[in-house]
Amino acid sequence: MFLLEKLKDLGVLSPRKTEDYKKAWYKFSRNPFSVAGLVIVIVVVILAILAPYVTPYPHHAEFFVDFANANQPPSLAHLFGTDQFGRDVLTRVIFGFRYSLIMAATILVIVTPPGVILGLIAGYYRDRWIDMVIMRIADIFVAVPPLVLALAICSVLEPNLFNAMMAVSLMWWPWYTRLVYGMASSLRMEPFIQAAEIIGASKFHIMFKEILPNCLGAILTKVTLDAAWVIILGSALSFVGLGAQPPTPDLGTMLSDGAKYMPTVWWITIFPAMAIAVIILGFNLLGDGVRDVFAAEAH
Amino acid sequence: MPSENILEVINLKKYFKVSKGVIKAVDDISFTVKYGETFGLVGESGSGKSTTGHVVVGLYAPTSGKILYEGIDMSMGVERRPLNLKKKIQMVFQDPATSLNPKRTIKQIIELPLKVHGISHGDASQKVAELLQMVELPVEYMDRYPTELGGGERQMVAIARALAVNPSFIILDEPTSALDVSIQAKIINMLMRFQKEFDLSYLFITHNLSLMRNVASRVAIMYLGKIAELAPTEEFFYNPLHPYTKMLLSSIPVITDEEEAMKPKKVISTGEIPGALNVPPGCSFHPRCPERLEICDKVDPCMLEISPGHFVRCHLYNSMKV
Repeated sequence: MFLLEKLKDLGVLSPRKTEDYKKAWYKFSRNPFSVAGLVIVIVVVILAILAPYVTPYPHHAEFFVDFANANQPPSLAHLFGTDQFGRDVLTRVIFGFRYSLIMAATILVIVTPPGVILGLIAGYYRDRWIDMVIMRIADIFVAVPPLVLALAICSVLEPNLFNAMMAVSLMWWPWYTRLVYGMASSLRMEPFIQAAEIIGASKFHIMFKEILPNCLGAILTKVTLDAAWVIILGSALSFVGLGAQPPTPDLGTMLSDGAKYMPTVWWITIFPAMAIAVIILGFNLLGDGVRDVFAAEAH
Repeated sequence: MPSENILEVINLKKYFKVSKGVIKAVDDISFTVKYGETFGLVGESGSGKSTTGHVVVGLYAPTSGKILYEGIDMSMGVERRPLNLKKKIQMVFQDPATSLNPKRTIKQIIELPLKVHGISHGDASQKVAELLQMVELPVEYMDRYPTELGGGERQMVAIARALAVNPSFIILDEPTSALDVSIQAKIINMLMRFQKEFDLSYLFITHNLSLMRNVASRVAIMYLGKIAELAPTEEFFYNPLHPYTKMLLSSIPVITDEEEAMKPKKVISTGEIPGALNVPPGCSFHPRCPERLEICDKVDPCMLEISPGHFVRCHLYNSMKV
């Protein structure tokens, strides 16, 4: 909250009135799918935060073996059944949300600021050498398929969650650079930017206080939609064994472990898979809603 | 003796390189603006009048030629002009919907020039309120966004922003063409009042000849990047020399016979301004000219001073040179 106030004082965020928020919420709530997305995301976040308190067997999230209860089908005691070590799948799925969300949040926090700043600079200095340098480097990263680059990095370094996050971050920033570049380079020709230049405003002011506020809507939309993509990518890395390592209850790791027991012991695989699908659906619907709000504001 | 000119533009050229060739948006024009006057620049779309304004204010650096402001060379882009000179020349854009940042409040917009030029530090509310009152807008507008204002009100905000730094020279780039007719007169009257009040000199760019007649003291007419005729307003409207001026003046729609009598003999307007990439050889106006001579498609005419202060660039007057 303090940070938001600070940004408003600096002029990066526009000062808002209660009615603006009401308007935005009205626009957002017009679409039931957006609201559903918001509900899904909120529920998942709350479950992840409160995981130790809401799960039936919190100790099953760590190293735990109970072969007596291994591979139990879903029952009242174990709603999602148990896995090959006798651990409660529901517990592990809810803890799995934690890792997925931490991964998404960390990567997007790491990636967004440099991506956006580079995009602003390149867009503002369009057709100068600095634009060429930044955008060609971005192109190189974009040209390599994300999973392939992440695989390469994770297999060279020690495979763990941290390295997986670094690998994904490394190839994710150019998308923000490109998004902001496109907007900044066209906004740059707008008369209101020319007006600021005639006045003699600094380049810093023009980039961060004139151009950036006009990009925030698109950036926020992309962050929301990207959360889903980052979770998919993170899960994919874990699935091939290059992300979080057992016994961490990562949804991707759980998928790959369970796959060996398909189709008889289906619940070890199906429930984590559904969990991934639900998070992704939630972020996508939410992202669409966010986009609607900002698209409405733009007109 | 101090010069009577606040602005001198000498042989100004602005060419744009595009993939298909070179666009000569402004091609060797010269004019001066005197202290306290409104110098009008008219022309059809694509004649280069707006580009001229943009070069003078520094949004584009000129390809060649000089811009002298009070005798100081300003022939560079705005980012290389010294800060204390930047505030002397301000600009009001055509469409206030795009010249005001939709994400910034009116206060933030008007405050910017005050802060950049150190006119007020810290809270500038007081000064912003004064400026809003000056353009006859309610002080409560401070916290609003441009999108919450009407078109005329936005243009007044843009004018307030231009006046915030006490400039001496303002470029008005079609300041009323994007507005409702009902608000145009109000804006023009306000601009004329401020001109007297603050000793401003205007470079007034418009395609509206009737408006020009009311506001400008001298008028230059541009065609394909060149000035075709430059004269004091009276002279320009009562004794136009260039066939292009005659053509445009005779195409002003009028209602009464009186007005009709004031217009030059009907010259049928033919054709449209050619593309800037294939400028006709010789005098660029010759394909549309009703009085063309043999020389016209071969030799580009020079600027001739026919009577004091009245310049025309046309072969018809070669023998009349003073």
